[in-house]
Amino acid sequence: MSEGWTAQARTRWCRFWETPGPTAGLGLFRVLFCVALLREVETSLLKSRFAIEGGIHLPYVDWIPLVSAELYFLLHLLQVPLVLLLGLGLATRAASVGLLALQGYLFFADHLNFRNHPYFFLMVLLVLAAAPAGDAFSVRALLPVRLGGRGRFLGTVQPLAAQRLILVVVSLVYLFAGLHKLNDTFLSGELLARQFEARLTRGDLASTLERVLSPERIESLVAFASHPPHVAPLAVGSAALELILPFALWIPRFRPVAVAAGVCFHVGIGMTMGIWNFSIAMLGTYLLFADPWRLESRMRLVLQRAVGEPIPVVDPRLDPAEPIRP
Amino acid sequence: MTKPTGASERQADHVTRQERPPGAPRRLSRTTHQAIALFVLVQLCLPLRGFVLDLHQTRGDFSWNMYSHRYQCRARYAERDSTGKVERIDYREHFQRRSRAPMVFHRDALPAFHASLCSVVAPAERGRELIASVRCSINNGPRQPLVAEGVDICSAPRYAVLER
Repeated sequence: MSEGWTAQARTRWCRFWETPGPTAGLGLFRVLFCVALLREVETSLLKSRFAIEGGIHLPYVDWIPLVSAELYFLLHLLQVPLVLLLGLGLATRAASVGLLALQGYLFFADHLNFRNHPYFFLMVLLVLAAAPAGDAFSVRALLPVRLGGRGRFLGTVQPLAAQRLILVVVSLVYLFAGLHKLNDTFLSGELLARQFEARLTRGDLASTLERVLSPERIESLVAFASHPPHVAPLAVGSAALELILPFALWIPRFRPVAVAAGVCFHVGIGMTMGIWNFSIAMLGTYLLFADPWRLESRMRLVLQRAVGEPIPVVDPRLDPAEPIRP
Repeated sequence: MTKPTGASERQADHVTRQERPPGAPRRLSRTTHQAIALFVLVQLCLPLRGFVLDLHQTRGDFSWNMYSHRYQCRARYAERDSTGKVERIDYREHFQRRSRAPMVFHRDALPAFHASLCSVVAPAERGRELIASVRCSINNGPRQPLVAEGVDICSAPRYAVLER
């Protein structure tokens, strides 16, 4: 009996990770992820300063050396060409490994450099380093075979392991973040109210509002948003959403609503908390939740309209006339 | 039926790959499956520490704790000379980013912070002691002391960080 269960579990495990699918979604995600990575370089330059020698340090391990301010700047500068390489789909494995090394060093140089967003980026880079990330939507895929390219911009069909690993990470981020929010202080709206007050009175959002609204309007907006009972429904809603999304995004019937809610959620986080890099990366992963076959055929239609000629199918499973789905 | 050995397994897989028609599903190797399993296990288990231990114990790094709790600390550090005269020091001036200073006020980080602070301030070289008061509250709860007050943190066991 137990052997039957084990064999069943093994089969399901293998099927989940080995299910083949078009790599077009992964390619497009790679491009969007690189937009977030490029923006994150500047953020990291400001916020990872505990890799610089001098002052208080809380190392993870003693043998990771600290660097001078000049080298610290260089470590960030070096990331830019690597992000561009990854974004263009050239030498994606080498670019991912290089970025892992540079960002991983800055991240692990000191406990005080810890932020959730770079940690998420490191996990995704780890997966991309092992994935066929340059298979689609890449310069290499664009070049014809006679020039050493792949000649198939929309990629091929490969096991969906990499895409699904990223989705597992995303699901766990939502789940654990939602579970953390299950406390009276957060659900009462107090933390969100404080965040809103800070954002509405200081920083770039405050500057934007000053250009658009009158001082009286801003004052009443601040008074409203900084009152916890007014934002408590938002707090409860965000916690509930983070607990529902890890499941709803996987179920085709609920996916459209889940994606819409997730987009509103992350755009809201970007506007109210100024956290755009993480939001862009998370929204990019929604491409991977979509049915990869449907996504590829939609992209094919769009590209065909753009170039004005049919795009040849290079894998029989991608032929819209004879879709051979696994 | 005997189980194939590693070498004959690889040979069989190579033959199978050659015979596999174009467009046939590609299998992942056992090593890849093991790596995936390890990755998923780490992603599941690493965050648990942040749920098992409270914020006094740990900040909950790697547990996806994002703006979910209110953790307030009142921290004072001072040098005390041999006459008992106390002079406050600004511990935040030794941080590359002052805003990150509150990150250290958890029992798992405080000993390392005190060790670093003692090394940077080096009060013993001037015949002084470093004393501290760190009291923190979670989600508007009662404040708890994290550091033994009135003792020299540089020479105390665990740098004067209280176990509980």
